[in-house]
Amino acid sequence: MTSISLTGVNKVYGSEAVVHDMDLEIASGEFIVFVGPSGCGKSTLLRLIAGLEEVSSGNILFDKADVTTLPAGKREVAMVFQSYALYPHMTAAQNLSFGLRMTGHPAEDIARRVERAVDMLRLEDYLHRKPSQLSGGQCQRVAIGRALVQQPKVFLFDEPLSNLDAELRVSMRAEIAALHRELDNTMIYVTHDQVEAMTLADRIVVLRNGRIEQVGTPHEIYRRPRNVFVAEFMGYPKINILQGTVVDDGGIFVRLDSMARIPLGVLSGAVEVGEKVSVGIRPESVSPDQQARGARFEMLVDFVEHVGAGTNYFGRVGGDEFRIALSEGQKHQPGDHVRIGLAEDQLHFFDARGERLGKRQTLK
Amino acid sequence: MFPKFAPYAFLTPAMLIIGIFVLLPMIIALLISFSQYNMIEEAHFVGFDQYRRLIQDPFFWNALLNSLLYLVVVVPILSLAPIFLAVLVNRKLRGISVFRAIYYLPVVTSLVVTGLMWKWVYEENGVLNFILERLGLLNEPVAWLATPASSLFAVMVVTIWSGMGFYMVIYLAGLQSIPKALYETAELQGVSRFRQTIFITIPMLRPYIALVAVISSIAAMKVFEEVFIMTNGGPLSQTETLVFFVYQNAFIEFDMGYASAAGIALFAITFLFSIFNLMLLRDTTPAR
Repeated sequence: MTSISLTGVNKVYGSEAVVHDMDLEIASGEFIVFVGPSGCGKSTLLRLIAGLEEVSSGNILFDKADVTTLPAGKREVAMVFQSYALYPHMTAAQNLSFGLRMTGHPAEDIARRVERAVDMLRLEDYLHRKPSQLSGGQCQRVAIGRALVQQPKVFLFDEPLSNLDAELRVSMRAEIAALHRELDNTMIYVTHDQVEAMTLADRIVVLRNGRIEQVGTPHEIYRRPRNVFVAEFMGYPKINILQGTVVDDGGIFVRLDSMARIPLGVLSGAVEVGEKVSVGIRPESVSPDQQARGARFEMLVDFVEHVGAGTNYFGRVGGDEFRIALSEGQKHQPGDHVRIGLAEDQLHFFDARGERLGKRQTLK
Repeated sequence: MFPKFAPYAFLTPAMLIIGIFVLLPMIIALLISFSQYNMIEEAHFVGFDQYRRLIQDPFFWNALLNSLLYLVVVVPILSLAPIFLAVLVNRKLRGISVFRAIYYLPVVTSLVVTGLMWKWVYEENGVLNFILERLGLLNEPVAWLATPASSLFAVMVVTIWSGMGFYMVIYLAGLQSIPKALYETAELQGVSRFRQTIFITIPMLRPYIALVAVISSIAAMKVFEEVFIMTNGGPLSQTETLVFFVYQNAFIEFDMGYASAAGIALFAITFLFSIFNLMLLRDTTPAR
């Protein structure tokens, strides 16, 4: 069990800064997911923690002990790579034990650790095969097993499921979650897949351009995104962000550029009349017209996506693209006009810079 | 789109050149090896006489032995040492390409030049003797190329020196095909750099080692220029290799039939060695 703390960590390649002044506290036993678009610095951050890259400035602490200059081999971390990184000339069994054999562990100890990993990950059937004779999923289990036998303080996963097919990804995800429950180790997991992030994480760290945009539980990240970027990054179909202006129309409203006005209610104290704001509407925060209470509007359907439990409609409201997700079978066709209403208590308001307009500061 | 004969039409020019300059001479050499021919008189068929002569000729056995010794010493060195050289210059260091170029320089230098240069190095008043005397390792200068015990090894050094850079480049290509994550995994496990090289790099380079072993075996069996320039086969035929033997019989003695028979023998030996080499190093893991 190891806590990790980053203080003022920078990583610069040449003249290009990849990680900016990063501060982050990871509690012991926590499952942390770094998520963000490609080039956001999430893999670099992981590699800095692993010791595979040197920090340009700042400190990395494991359990309050500074490991900033400690070589990777001494940090007691294990990493699982997207490419599996199994040694192709060794069998699965040899891959599992290689690191321990090379660092002079006693044979009985190695045998015991390998056996445990084999049991946990059910590897016995292909222990004597080489990676080229294993499927992608089997390779990744061996790679996870190899991390396991190291008995590391911290597990690092660098997009481990990205090379697997969809079905396998779901089952491996469940397995990694189970592994965390069983081992209770600190785990850091990098992905660009928001579903992986939402399902696995105790806390999610959303990154963009080498900076942290938000740290929070999956619930917080989804329900209370700190800014437009986080709101747009999480959730499918993507959140609708509509531009509007604050108006005093016998009460404070946002008049959207493309449709009806939305009452600002409790938020009114945080904004001035005439200010530009944007409103975030999750596709599932709408309801068919007859149930709706607040603002209602009409959407022109362009195309329809069946997702089993519900139906996603992609279309336009006024000039803006708009997406809705209804938990019912398909009732509308492309070309139809759908009348829908908003669940006003589930709306997100952002200021002109894209920062969330919080409730607390605005309550009168 | 194309008529059926089109591929053959495209192949014809290359096949013609290979046919006239490679295949045809090989067939003619095979035919000459069954005859007595001195380039002036008409050749006449003598059956296996030339091969019988070979077997009974102590100079042929001497040359064969020298060539085999060459093979046994030079091939393992040229197959393994360049790996370490390649690992060394595979780092990302400022100016590393200068080192790569320097190591490759002997490869592009004419063997005649290399041979002459090393001949000077080996002279009794040459650099090597000077250094060894200064270090107190020698009391009096050694004529490295004129001493029977050292002459063949002195020539081998030149072959190794001039071939190293070439094989280094082959291994460099091999190294760059090894995924970085393999080393990173080992690094995280605390495996030392040296052990990474032994247990990851070398096994991963197996197909490249096979290639280098075959190429360098063939090269070792064909050694000629170094010998011709530096020792001319001497002293006491100590540096006479198979190709040098063929050259002597063909172009000094004009005994073409005999030289051809020796050439065919050389071909057979090289061929067998290459097959042996490839079998020894055959990669058992199927390609991904």
